[in-house]
Formats: sequence, C-alpha cells, structure tokens
Amino acid sequence: MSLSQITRGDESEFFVKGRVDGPVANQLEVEVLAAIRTPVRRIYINLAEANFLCSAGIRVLLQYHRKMKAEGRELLVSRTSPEIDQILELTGFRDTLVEKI
Amino acid sequence: MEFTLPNDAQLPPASAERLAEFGRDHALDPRVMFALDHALNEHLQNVVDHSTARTAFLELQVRDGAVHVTVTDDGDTFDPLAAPPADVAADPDSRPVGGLGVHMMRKLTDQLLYRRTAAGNQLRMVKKLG
Repeated sequence: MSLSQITRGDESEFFVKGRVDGPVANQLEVEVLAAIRTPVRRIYINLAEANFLCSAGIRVLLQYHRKMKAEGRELLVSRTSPEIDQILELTGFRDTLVEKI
Repeated sequence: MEFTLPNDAQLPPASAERLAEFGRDHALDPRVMFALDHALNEHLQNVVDHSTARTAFLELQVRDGAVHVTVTDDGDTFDPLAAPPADVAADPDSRPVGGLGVHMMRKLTDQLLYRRTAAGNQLRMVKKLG
C-alpha cells in the first residue's frame, strides 16, 4: 500500500494504492483528519489504483464524507478501480461517495 | 490447507497471504479469490477487534465445485450472523454503518454457516467456483 497527497489551492487529493485493510484504514483516517483541520474545501480520495477495500475503510470514507458535508465542505472518492467500484456498489454507498463526473 | 495463528493484529494479513498461496496452488479464479479475500478479512478483523479468542484455526478446501473456508476461534460464544442485516435501501446519508462487514461477507459468498463447537466458534464460508 502507498498513500500520497497533493494539495492545490483549497483542494486536497489522496492517492491510495494497493490494499485498504484495517491498518491502512486507520492510517487514512489520520491523514484525512489532518487535512480536515486545514482550510481545504474539498478532499478527494483517489482509489484508481486500490484493489481491496475493507469495511473499516468504507466507514472512514463515510464518516468524514458526512462530517465535511455538515460543514458545507466535500469529501468524495474521485476515482475507483473496478474492484473498489464493486465493493462500494455492494455496500450501497457508491452513489453517495463517488464523485459524479 | 490448514493452519493456526495467534489472535493478534497480524491474523488478517497473515491469513490473506496463506489464502493467496492457496489460490495460486489451486489456480482459482481471481473473482473467487477477490470475494474470499474480502470476506475472510472482515471476519478475522472482527475476531481481532471483538473476540476473546487466543488463536484461530483455518481450513481451506476445494471440494464439490466450491471453495470452503472454515475459521474456528477459541473465544467465547459469538455468532456474527445473528446481527440484523444492514439496510442498504435506507438513506445512505444517515444510514448506520454498523454491520457493514457482515453484509459484505453475505454478499461476497454463496453460503455462510455458523456453529458453536467444542473447539469454539466456527464460521464456514462457501464460494462456488465459476
């Protein structure tokens, strides 16, 4: 797994590669929380190169999606791999979490 | 394939490695492996996070046109399938996120069976081949 972040203006995008299992979900939560404490308006989680997403990872995405939305800001999944798309679809959170282009 | 691992943070990743090895040895379809990898991870993370077990014993078998993954943990009685199913039709903006792991296990396998045995909690996941 690798996790990197690019911030441009008031947007921040995280690029997650490989397996998003329990420990990676915890790491992602720490990084997302740090980003939320900055003035960014939009946070994107790019999962185009992720191939595994556990329920803990989905909980992180959903929890901070809801928190950002309540503050008038946005946290969305910007891109998905086919594997991640399948997992989000079967949990019923795909339409909520994935950015509509 | 059979193996016993201690119930600690390494249980899910160590089991995933063994499952991948089993899949390679049996040339299993990547879609079957993808589903079992997720389902097994969800169950074992629950064992790590919530059970009193000291060890988990795993059996991986291909028989009768399906992969059978059986996990026996020596913790106190706990039936993960007794939890109410997640309501995926509810409003996604307010729906509780609890129960997501078991929901994923149900959707990704063809059969889930729980029973309490003398050895502990036994959960069997069955995924059909093809």
